[in-house]
Amino acid sequence: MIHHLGAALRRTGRLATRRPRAALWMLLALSCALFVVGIAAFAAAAVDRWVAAHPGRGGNMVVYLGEGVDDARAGALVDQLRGLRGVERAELVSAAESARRLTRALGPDPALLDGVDVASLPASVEVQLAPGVGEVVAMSPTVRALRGAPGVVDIVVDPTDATGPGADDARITDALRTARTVAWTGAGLFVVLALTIMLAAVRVGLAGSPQDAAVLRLLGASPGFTAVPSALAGACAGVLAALVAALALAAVLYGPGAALGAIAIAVPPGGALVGLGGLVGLGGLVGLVGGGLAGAARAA
Amino acid sequence: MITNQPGIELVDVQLDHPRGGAPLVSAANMRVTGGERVLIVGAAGVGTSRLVATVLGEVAPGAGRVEVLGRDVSKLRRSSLRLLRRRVGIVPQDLCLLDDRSALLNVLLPLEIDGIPRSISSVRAAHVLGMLGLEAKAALPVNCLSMSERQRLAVARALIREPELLIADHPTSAQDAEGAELVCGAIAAAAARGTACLTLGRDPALRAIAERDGWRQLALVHGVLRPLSQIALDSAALDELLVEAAAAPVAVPAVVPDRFPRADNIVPFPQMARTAGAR
Repeated sequence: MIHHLGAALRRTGRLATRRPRAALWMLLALSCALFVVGIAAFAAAAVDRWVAAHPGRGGNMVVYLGEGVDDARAGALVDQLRGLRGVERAELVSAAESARRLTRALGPDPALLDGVDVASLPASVEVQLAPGVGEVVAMSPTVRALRGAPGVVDIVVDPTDATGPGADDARITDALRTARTVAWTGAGLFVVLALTIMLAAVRVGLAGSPQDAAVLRLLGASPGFTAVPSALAGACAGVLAALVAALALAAVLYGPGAALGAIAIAVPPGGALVGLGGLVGLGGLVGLVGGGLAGAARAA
Repeated sequence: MITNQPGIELVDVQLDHPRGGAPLVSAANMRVTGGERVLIVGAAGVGTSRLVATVLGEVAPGAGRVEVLGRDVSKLRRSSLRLLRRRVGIVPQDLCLLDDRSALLNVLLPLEIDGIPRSISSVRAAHVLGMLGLEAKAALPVNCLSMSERQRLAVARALIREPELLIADHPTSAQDAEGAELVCGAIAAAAARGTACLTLGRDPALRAIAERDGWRQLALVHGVLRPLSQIALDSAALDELLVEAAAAPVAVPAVVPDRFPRADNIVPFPQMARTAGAR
């Protein structure tokens, strides 16, 4: 079994490095496609958040946490708040994220931050309330109980429902829903396009010559003999490309002089890791499928 | 060591020309058993390579039955054919080597397909490469080898599995006398282990060695597969028949491309055989 695995890995390595230039082009194409996927997902998520946070949607509440509150307890609090009636969304904003938002809001002038200890900003929980329930929630026993809870420093409730009941409310709600739909549909289209490009790139990058096919057929090789190493090589290329794309995304979104710096892109706690995992998973999966198809085509 | 194990059996086989017209071979009957060495001589374009393709199951015969290692190849599924090929050593005329691999890795490929551990396959590869005078070339990429070395490499690859049947299509066409001896020596060693060996070729060195070592010889002339002795009895010189067939405007089957010169290596057989000390 071990020697079978070793032989398959040897063939994978040989296949991946057989044509270095083609492998580089394949990696570049995969990285670009995954970068597009990442940007599309970020953009759609940003639009989604903007829609969710729009004043016309209803009031909001911020629960400021003390210094001694650990992540587990904060997470439990977020879960409790999500379970309340009238709460549309509850999200933990870490101290680091608070600092980043403050720095971004004040702009590039460091003088504005004089006297502010950015590192000591508190973590908080942002709660989005359903339209029309802001005042009810502000006076609810739950919020009153929360004010005295250990680890909770302060609660600020903004019950303002900017639109109020009326004809405009429905129009704005429709417009926001449309914006959200357009954002996610556009992202979906970009993802489909990127997946198509990725599959084609892997198949071309790992395609074998007719001579290879003739030799393997002559010697009685099974389709798995070529498909497995080819799929593994595709998966490796996909994962590597995902890491490259993630680096490029991080540079564009958060790097110095970030091109998208003007857009407030709030990443939920652990969101970066989830995004990286998703990108790596997608790259690996598409590489696996594309490589497998290339290998099967070679065997046939 | 000739055994009763069936290697190849052709029963009334007819091979059609790929472009239609008269059949290339008609009513061919032949049996090669384990340990036997058989040489089929034929001019270019008479259908020897098509015969190989038929035996390998690549081309269906127009009529008749082709059995390889006791299995009717025309009735085998693709997967069964694949498994059957793992029991057969094949030296194709165009060699079919992987240019991006070293000589050693080319030889190891069949055992890699069979899932043999590298520790065992390396020993067998060293042995078979040594037998064909290629031990010093093992690490070289295939495209750094001469044509004769590549041809011997293809023979080494065919023999490394210690197959039950060896089919060698013109395995000495690019060899000098010494190289032909090495190739024929390797074939003889395989036959001594009980391998049924079918060789197709027309170059003088191969024919001389076959004559000297007592291989069973057949000739494919005018679409008929006959023992060489019968042609001699008909008092028609084989070489004249070979030249006639080569000169005739017969379309060459496109199954296996022929890289090597065809007409140049057809030298009058009796003269060369006598030079090599054959009867």
